[in-house]
Amino acid sequence: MDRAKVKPPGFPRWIFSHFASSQEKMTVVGDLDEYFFEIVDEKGKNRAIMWYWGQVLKSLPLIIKHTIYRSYIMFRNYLKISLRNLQRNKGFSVINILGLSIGIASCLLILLYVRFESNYDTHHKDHERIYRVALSSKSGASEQLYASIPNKHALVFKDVYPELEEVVRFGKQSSMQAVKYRDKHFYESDVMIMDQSGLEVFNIPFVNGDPSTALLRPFTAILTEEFALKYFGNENPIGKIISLDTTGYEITGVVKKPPTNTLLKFDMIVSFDSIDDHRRNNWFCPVYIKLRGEADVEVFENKIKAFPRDYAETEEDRNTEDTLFLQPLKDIHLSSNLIWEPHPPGNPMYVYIFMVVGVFIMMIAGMNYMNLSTARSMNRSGEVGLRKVVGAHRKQLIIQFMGESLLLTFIATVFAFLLLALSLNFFNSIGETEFRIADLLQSDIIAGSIVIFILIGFVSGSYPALFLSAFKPVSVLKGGNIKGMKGTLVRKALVVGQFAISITLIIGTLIIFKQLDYMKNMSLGFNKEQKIVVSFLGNATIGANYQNVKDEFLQHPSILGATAASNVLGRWQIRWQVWPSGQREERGQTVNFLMIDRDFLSEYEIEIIEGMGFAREPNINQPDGFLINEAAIGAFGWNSPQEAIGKGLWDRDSEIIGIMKNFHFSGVQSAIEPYVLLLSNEQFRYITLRIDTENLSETVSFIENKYSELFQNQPIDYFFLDEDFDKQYRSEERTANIFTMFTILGLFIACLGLFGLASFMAQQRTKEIGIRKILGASSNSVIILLIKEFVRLVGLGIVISWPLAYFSMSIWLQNFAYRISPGWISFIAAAFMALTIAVLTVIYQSYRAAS
Amino acid sequence: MRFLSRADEILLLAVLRLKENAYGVPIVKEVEKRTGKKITFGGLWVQMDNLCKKGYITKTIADPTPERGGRGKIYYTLTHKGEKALEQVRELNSSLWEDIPGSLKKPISD
Repeated sequence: MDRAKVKPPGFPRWIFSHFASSQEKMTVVGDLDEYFFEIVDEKGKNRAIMWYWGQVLKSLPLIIKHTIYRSYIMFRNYLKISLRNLQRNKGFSVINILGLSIGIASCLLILLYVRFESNYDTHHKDHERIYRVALSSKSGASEQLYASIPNKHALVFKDVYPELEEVVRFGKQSSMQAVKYRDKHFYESDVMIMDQSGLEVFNIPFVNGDPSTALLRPFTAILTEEFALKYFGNENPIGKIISLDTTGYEITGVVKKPPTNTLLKFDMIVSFDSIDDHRRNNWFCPVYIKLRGEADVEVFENKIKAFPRDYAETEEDRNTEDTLFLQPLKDIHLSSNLIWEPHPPGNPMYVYIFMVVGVFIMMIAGMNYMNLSTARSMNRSGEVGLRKVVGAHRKQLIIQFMGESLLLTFIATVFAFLLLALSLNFFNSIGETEFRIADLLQSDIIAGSIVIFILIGFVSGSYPALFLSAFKPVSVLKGGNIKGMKGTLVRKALVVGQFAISITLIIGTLIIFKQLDYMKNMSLGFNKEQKIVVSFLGNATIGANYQNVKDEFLQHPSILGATAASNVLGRWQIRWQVWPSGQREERGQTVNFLMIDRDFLSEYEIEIIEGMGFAREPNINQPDGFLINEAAIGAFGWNSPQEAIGKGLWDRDSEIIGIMKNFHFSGVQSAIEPYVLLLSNEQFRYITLRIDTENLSETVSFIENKYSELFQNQPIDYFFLDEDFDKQYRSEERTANIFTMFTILGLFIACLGLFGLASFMAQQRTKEIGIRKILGASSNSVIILLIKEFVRLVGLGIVISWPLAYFSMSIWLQNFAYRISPGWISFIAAAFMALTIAVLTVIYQSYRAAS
Repeated sequence: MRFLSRADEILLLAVLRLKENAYGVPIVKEVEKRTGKKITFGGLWVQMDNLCKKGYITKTIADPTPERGGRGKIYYTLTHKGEKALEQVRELNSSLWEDIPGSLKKPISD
């Protein structure tokens, strides 16, 4: 039969080659074809074709199964060998895994933190549709942005904008309120007020009570579980009455405490209808809206922009230039810093800083791994040679080594999770976070760790894999020592790199601490030492009696002075609109404002540069007067202190009677803003007592007793001014602590690496060392020789790190209006530290080798 | 060394008999001739690969020829170990069947 005329069926052939395409397996097709023709001869074309199909359909599953089985066997082999390798080189393996774990753990931690900061308020359902409505107000020459708007607007919104699903008012009526139930009586700072709609918009899980009605009626309230525990113990609070200042509220629900990453923090929320009439009409508070799914946010934003004009209540208001704008809920934390912002904003800069630090640590750990594995690989050249001889292809070797690297990285990752779980508490205390183990198991963290582990596994494993598999079997088996010039160079570069990064981190930490210290101890222009501030809020008002109250406290011999004011220096200052009389339009500013009594200036030692200030003895006949600081002069359009004296503010009769030298009333992070003080005799809420620090505890008891004598049944709230003032630097302190921790970790890993490397190098050079000693070199000189080499590497690292550190720290320092210059000492200290540590690490190994 | 399985034995003997001609098609034909069973080519390849990994035979891949549509052949040869295994089975067989009369119905003891 003419073979050309009949061909074996193409389709089954194609199927076969699709699943089994290696050269060897294709021989089966060859056999099939050959036999095919015989059948065509014997039984005819059709039988042959059917037979062919039958063969393919029966053979393929077997072949595929077999192939899979073979791969599995190979994989198991590699696994066995890898594990055995780890066993054999226990020392190295432990160091490697430890270093890598710490690196991965740090990375994960930073991932957690970054995720935390970027996900404020994402736990609410449909949070992408929730916005805060903010106000932009032009007055005089400036535009001011406010985070709170007149609460009445909220009611109008609901009526006129169909795009809105809900409108919620959520704010704090006063910074401290006295809360009382039976004998539990404390000042609380997180009591909020909210519309019932808030329970529908925001994710507030109820433990007890009905969310659909809890805040419907006036004078109802809900508590967090912790708060309920504090006041009610194990009693069920539902239905009971708790009092706020003097008003009673019925508890209608107990809820879970909100997570830390939310703007809407609260311990207790009262229903909005409980608000008093005065506030109802005039109060400004944060207003949140939830858009309907189909609404277009841009279109809506344009609409609401014109609200102040469109819905103005009077003819003159219609001329306003105020506009409203929207802020997406999630973005507020990191990017919003408006006036009346309920919480100080987070700083995205720190988020970036930590991401960079994380990358650094990862680099150190990764480099470590690469270094140690290439070092170790020298020992395995024999194995590689042998494998090649028995027929392993280069590709197989690459897979084997890559596989080992991934295995190691995987073990390190698992270990990293363990480490993190164990040390989570410690991190929480340093970083003031509240991470729990459950956070570690979130899907994106796990996804992140998988990415990290694969990335590191591949990158770190690539060098050894490619490097090792290229060994020529002959030269290796002959037993020669692989010189691998290129290998040594890379390894040295890695050590240099590690130390460069570590030293940069050390320098960074030192500088941060220096800056922090500087800020804390910088001369503030007023005296905050030895002062206790006592609050008089809520029902414990002192009103016009302030002088008498002061005198009561002054009775004690250790209390040397007293002054009253409306607020506390260093805390969030109230800002008011102030203008030179008659110039409200052109020169109105929103400035920091404080009401003080006559003793204030002398108690705080504030310097007056022009005008009379006040006589040092209190002079009750002096009329009200304003004091402004130097920065305010220019803000109000005057050119000199002399020009400012005597001018009026607020269209009032009082005039400016003194100019104060600029002082840092709200910390030294920012430049000094204008400050206006009004000499007054009303609205004081804080009395500052200057004390003699001897017998401190006795003095404090006196204060407590005197207070309860004057104000029965009111809880006392007092604090040391210097401690309170320093709280502002909390975020910088936190950064410093975190930085320190990571620096130590980074340095530790680098030293681990150095340790391993040193011991390996020492091992390698036993021959050389032996020869040197025979030729008469002493142990010491040999040690010195080895040390010198490493010192050279670290030195190079130092040289690289200095410019890097200088550059980045300069950028960071620019965030502060008052800053140190980086200075020599940090750089030298860091270099010195690194050298010492490196030398110590190496000495041990060298000593062992040289003996 | 473990005893060969029946299937192994059959295949190895086929390889032995076919000498230089021991590749896919003839092996399948030989096995069918001796046992009456038809095996598939894919299945044959799998079993031969197993035997190869156990060390009883070696594979040699020959160049492709046009009659086979451009695919090569695999020639199998018995190794020393394979030979010994066959010997072992032969002895085992004779030892097992020693003194068993031709028709199994007759009593063993004489």
